[in-house]
Amino acid sequence: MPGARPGGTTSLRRGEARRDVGGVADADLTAAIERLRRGERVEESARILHRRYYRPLRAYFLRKVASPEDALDLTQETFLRVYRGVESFRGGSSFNTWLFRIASNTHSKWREHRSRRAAQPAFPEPSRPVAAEPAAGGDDPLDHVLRRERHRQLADAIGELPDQQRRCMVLRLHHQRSYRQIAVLLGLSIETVKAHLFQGRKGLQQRIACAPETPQPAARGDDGDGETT
Amino acid sequence: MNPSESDLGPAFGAAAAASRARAPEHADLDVLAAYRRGELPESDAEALREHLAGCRECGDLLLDLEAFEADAEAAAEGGAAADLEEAASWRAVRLRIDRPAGGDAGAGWHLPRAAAAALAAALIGAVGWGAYQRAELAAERSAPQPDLPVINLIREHTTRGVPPAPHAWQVPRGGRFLFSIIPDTPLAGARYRVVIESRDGVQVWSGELVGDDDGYLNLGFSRRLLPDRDYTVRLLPLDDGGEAETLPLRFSR
Repeated sequence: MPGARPGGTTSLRRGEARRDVGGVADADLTAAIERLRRGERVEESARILHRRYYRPLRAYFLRKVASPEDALDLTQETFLRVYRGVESFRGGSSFNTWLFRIASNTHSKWREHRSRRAAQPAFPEPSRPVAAEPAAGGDDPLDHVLRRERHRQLADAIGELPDQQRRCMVLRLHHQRSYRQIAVLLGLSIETVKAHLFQGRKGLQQRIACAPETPQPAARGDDGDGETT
Repeated sequence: MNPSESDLGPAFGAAAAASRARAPEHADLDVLAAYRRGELPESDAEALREHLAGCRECGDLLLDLEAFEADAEAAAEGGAAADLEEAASWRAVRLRIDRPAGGDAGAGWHLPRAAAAALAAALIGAVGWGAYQRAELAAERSAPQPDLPVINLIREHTTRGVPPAPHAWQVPRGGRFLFSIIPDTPLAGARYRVVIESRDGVQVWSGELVGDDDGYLNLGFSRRLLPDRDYTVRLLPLDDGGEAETLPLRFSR
């Protein structure tokens, strides 16, 4: 195992623990990380990291995988990778972020492994002739042209919205994100997200109303996930 | 014109694709973390917001990071049951940590470089540390662990020539347990690929394990993954000179 970098420092940056979390004080955690990097009092230091990060890691994997057993296995595997690779933590990035990267990579590898296993059928499926895809929206060329025109007008109208309104609407209507998730992704408050969505819908309807087109059913109002505008 | 739902889907899909085209670069995790902390320059943050509007993958990563950091900052909750669960997990992890001294230095923790004079003292300390670790490990193994039983799969049950009848191991329903697989020639630091298969040849688990101080291969396992039936445990040595072994295994309640 290579030696620790004598000039290296371990610090918990802004946004990390400022108090006693999981029975581990901030200063104790910093010291434990530094000792682990030097290979000193390994078990004691590893225990401190485990106590501090067990719950957030387990919660992360419980969100990512269906089985509690798999979540526990992935949690423990992440700790082992953290202990074995802690000397590569340079202190330049947040330790939380560094540890989360390992957890995320552990999950990605597990998922790849699972999908590889799932992709191996017991018997190869016979190849089937590929049927020609029917043209979307029926065979009527006029319908097709009208639909394309409506899509173009809508796309133009969406593109003319202010950036944050447009992003809020795309995240809501295409990615099906909740208001809270949109707020996190765009760095906004939930109230601002709601306001952007309201203004975005209004602006979209106004822009589309100007277009010469036959009346269509009204655009849906709320998105029905229990949150209200 | 008022748009129908069938029109909105493709239109916003196209808008998401346009966002991806305007900001095609996926975001590194450090960049996402800096963005979350408000430490990105505004121009970079604006480009990232545009990318996030189009990229579900980066959006998911940022949301996962946000939830993880929030959990890491939150005061511990869950009470004694959660503490017990954490302690049980630690016992399983501890058995898999490479030992700092008396073990395989190349595979795990390093020994600090020392001057020649200090080396002898360090060596004595290492021997003492190794003995202490072995004693502590032995004490842990002998201690009652109702929620984390240890199964010692010993060499008397390995196959050399005619396979012996597998011993039926009884483990508590629904729990987790630790395997301690003991190779024919236990060697600290010896590396094995361990494959657990059902008797009909379906692989249940496979992974690389390193012998601990006693040469045991320790593996935490969920009982649910191994229903009551016969299994074969194969030890495939990854180091030169090792010999493959096959161990029969049967569970019953």
